[in-house]
Amino acid sequence: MARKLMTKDAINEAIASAMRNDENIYLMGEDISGGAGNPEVGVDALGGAYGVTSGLATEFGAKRVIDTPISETAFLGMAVGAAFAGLRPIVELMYVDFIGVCYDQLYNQAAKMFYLYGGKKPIPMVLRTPVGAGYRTGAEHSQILYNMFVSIPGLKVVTPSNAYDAKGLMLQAIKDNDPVVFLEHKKSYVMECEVPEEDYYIPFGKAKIVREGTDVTVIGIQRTVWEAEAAAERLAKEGINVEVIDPRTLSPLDMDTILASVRKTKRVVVADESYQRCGMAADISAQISENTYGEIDAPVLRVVPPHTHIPFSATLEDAWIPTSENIEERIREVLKF
Amino acid sequence: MDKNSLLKAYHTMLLIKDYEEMVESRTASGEGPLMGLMHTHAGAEAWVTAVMMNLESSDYVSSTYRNHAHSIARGIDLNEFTAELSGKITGTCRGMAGNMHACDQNLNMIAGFGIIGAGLPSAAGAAFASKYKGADDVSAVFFGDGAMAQGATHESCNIISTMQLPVLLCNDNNHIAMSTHSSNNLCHESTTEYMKAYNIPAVTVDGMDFFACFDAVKIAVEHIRSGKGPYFIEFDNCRFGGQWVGDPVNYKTIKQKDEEFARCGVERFKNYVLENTLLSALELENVQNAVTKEIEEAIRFAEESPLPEISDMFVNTYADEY
Repeated sequence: MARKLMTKDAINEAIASAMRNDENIYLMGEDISGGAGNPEVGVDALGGAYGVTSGLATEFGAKRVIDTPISETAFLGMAVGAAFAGLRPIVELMYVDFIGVCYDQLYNQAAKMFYLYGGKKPIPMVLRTPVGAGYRTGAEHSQILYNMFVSIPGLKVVTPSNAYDAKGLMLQAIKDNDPVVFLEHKKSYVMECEVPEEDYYIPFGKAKIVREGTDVTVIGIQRTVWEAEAAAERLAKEGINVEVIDPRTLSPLDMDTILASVRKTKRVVVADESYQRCGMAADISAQISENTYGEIDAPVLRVVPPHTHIPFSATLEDAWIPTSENIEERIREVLKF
Repeated sequence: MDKNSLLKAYHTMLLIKDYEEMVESRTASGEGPLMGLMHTHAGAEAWVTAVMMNLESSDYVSSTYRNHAHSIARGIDLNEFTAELSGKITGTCRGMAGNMHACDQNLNMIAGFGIIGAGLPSAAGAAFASKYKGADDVSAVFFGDGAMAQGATHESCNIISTMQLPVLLCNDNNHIAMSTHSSNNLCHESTTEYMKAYNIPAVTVDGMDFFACFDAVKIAVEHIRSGKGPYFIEFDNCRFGGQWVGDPVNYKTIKQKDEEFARCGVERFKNYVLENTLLSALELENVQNAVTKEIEEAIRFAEESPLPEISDMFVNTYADEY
């Protein structure tokens, strides 16, 4: 039987493999090793807030797996300069929510550099960061923020929903010569699936049809892929065939696959955990609407969180997060047209 | 300093000075070919030249939106640079950068950072790469007194010191951030005071005195290249122009402006080499003639160069397939 791996370990395996093959790859971030500065403990005491980089400091040493001070602007910007100078940095931002303190180095510097200076030097770097609600960590440690990256030209944005995709997309991200934002859903970290031991690469901009169907298309991203699958499973018992599409990368975005599916089913629901205003669902819905006028049988419907912050209290946070029930409800609605 | 170096220094300083005069005059008159907002760096000729003359081509340079002096002293192709400021496709950056960002990455200039203080993290990163690869390349970063109030600067100084990175911190202290005097913005009169907190060796030098700057930078670069970690130099100097070309500079009195002009580093160099018979009047005149010709040629090149095609806009958003 094929080996199963959790998403966090699949990402770790991809990074380790790439690091064995290329001396120019280094990791930098806060507490990605743990124990730095305490010789009585040594490196690799923590392996990152979610354990994604566990074991890497032991294998590759403190020269290549570096714990930084709490200075996101400095170490994210350092990746830009190091990439310019020929290295291939992988940087961890402990939570996506911290992007606010260092965004300039990403959207003004990393993203624009190749374009602005005449296409002379690519900036190959990967910014990895956990996203997602559901951990009672409050409004500043639970966001998704896909849209903050997708709206910026020059960045590539990757959103694996499972361990298999995470490994293949991470290897591709490290190989890519552009700045890549690699968003890891916290809930996916401990979800497992079959993952080959050898290296494989999943190209960006190629969506996966997770489940084939004929009655309605649901576009999901990370959490909403699993939630859409659960909804589809229930509806199948009533004879409703739901097609579920996982774009896997949001920039580039595989609109060809999405549009082909929508033209087939003629009904579509876009489900997304990021904010509803100017969020991914809004963006994808707009592109579908622009391209399918007169070809589909119902308006494009969205499943998105309410326009409010992510509350702490369990009952409220659970009500904030888009669920399979929300998706099921919208599917039933779109089928009424 | 040998004669060739003196001639090179004078040539660079004069080229910066005259180039900036040309930028001021052509921007004010609107005669072209330059387009858009211009930031000039007149007043920085002496110290910027002193920094660049101490750097190797393999060293890294992190520039700013006030990048003309840095680029010229680094040896940028003046024709391409002028075409860049004119938005032409033959420009250093294909007309995508303009005055705000122009610099040549092929000269190991990382960027002309348009955001105050944003160039320090990258400079630290290039220095990190140098150390990582076991090279002895120095990473020089230019930033003003205005940037001393930015978070990116302080985060970078802390990490540069903690990791002992080979960074030359070149603080362009012209005591004015846009229209605001540094006494309004900074809690220290000298920016070297901040470096005590970061445990980074720091000196102040008269930025209008080429020879003093050259000696200070030489010591700093030797320190850094020998693996002893970062070094900070505060270049006490003057911004002769406004924040931008067209700025009325009504936040300085005429007396203050005159006092600044009296410190001119190029005049001071010229007088010094003549008084000490290091260079002759004829030699200086030859440099002047060469500089005038180079600038004329650069303007001609920019004028004759084509503007980009609309399709050029879509090139280089990504390096790889998208």
